[in-house]
Amino acid sequence: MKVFLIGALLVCSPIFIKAQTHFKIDATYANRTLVLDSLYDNTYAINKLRFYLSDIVLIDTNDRIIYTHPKKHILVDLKHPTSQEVHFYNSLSDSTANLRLQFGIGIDSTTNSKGAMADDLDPVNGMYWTWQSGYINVKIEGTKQREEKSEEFQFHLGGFTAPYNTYRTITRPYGSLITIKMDQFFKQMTWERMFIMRPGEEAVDLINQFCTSIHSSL
Amino acid sequence: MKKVVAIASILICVASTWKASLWPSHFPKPLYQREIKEATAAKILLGRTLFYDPLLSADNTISCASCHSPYNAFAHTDHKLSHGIRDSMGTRNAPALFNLAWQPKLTWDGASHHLDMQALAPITHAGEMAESIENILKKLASSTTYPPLFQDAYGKDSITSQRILKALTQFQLTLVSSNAKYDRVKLNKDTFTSQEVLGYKLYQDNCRSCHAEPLFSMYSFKNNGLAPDTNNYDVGRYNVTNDQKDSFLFKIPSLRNLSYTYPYMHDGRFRKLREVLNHYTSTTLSKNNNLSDELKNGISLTSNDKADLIAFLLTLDDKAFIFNTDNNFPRVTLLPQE
Repeated sequence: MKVFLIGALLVCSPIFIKAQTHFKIDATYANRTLVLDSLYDNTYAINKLRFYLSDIVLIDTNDRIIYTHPKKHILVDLKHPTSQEVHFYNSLSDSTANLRLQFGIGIDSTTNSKGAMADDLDPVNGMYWTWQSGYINVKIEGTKQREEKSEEFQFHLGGFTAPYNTYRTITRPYGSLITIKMDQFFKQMTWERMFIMRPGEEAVDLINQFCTSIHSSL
Repeated sequence: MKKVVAIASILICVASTWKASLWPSHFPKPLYQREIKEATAAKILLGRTLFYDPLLSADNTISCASCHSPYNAFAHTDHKLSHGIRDSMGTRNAPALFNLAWQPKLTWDGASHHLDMQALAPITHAGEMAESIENILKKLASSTTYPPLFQDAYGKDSITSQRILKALTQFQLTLVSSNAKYDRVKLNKDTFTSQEVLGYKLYQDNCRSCHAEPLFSMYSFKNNGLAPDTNNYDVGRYNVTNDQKDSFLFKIPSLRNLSYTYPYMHDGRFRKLREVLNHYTSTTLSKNNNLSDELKNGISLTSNDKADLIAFLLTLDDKAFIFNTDNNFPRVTLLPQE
């Protein structure tokens, strides 16, 4: 009798009980979780890594959006590991293999043109430029060793108007772990400028590098 | 009790600013419709109190009104460049604040897309107010003035950065200048003198493509042929867009309230209106390759023309706006003991 009940629950669960699932977005260096302030390859250290995830959706094989995350914008900060966990409910436990995860990196121009906002979009989070309008989509700060010297770098990547719009939508196969391979990001650097703090060509190049360094692990 | 009644009566007065008529009948429909809809007397009073409170600066000495004085149409008269905290000298002439609800972009170079967020620039700038929003939140929460003001405006537990910024917007949107002699003439309540009529014609022939009625600005960005300033070499809108076409472009200011807002231009280089007109009629403008199309054919005005044009421009002074007690220092909240 008991067995029968449990069996019935299992059969019914995809329909009646929505399972909580989540993915984690993690930064890595040489395939290992990146630790803030640690020196990698005797060259790079990252002190700060923050970015926005926006409009997170799951898309099925028929290109239908089957899930939209209720929070439009999420601020991910490596200093707060809980911010790296994106939780949602779904009832599709048996078919996640073919799903695609789509999300924006940064804040879209519509949101950028609105007035003051709260929570993850509150300017106190240090992700809003004060001298001009606009959210910082990705903030990467750290140090690079050069000829025995440690040099600071600060990349505040943003800009929401053409031709320097830095909002990007990316789609990856759905997996419970999304990784940003910072070693791959650094490999693409020219290091001509250590401070990029305003919208422009450099910010566009760096945001593209950042996005190509994002991978899905199933 | 007395205080409560006083505050309530002030609230009713302030509310009338938007509620009487949402905007002047001879003005186009303003931007910020949502904010105008959400306006309440309590939000406007909170914003007005914040605007006049030096608490917003690091050492509690500089308020928004320090550089945007009501008696100067919210500009900084008699200063070429505005100065901020600990006597730091700024790089630009503080712009007059009125009719902001019609301006799609703010500041001389249009760096700001929304009034809410514009306030962050002077608050956090090291040479202006040098303060952080986080610290302002602490100061507001521990003051006796603000918790009840926020409560009235936004309800319980409502001291947040979002509401600070939104309240400042609510106050600034009420700064509408629409009661100059020009406006009365347009509404058939007054008539121009014969000299003002001549000046109006000269304005229409020479100025209106950039300084269009009734706001007296298109609020777009133009290079008006000024030589780059030698102190700061301010490249204007190029700073924001990184586009060569935008080098030395600045926002077209309104021609309203010129008597109260001297000196003129982004760097305050001209003290007198006649100097401004002499600039526009000079022949050196054409050398500048980014010069706006409107100025490429040159403007020629005789000395008498200039006098007539200035006579018309002075009909754009809005005394009622300058002395509107709804806009000035809010004694009721900032000096309640007096």
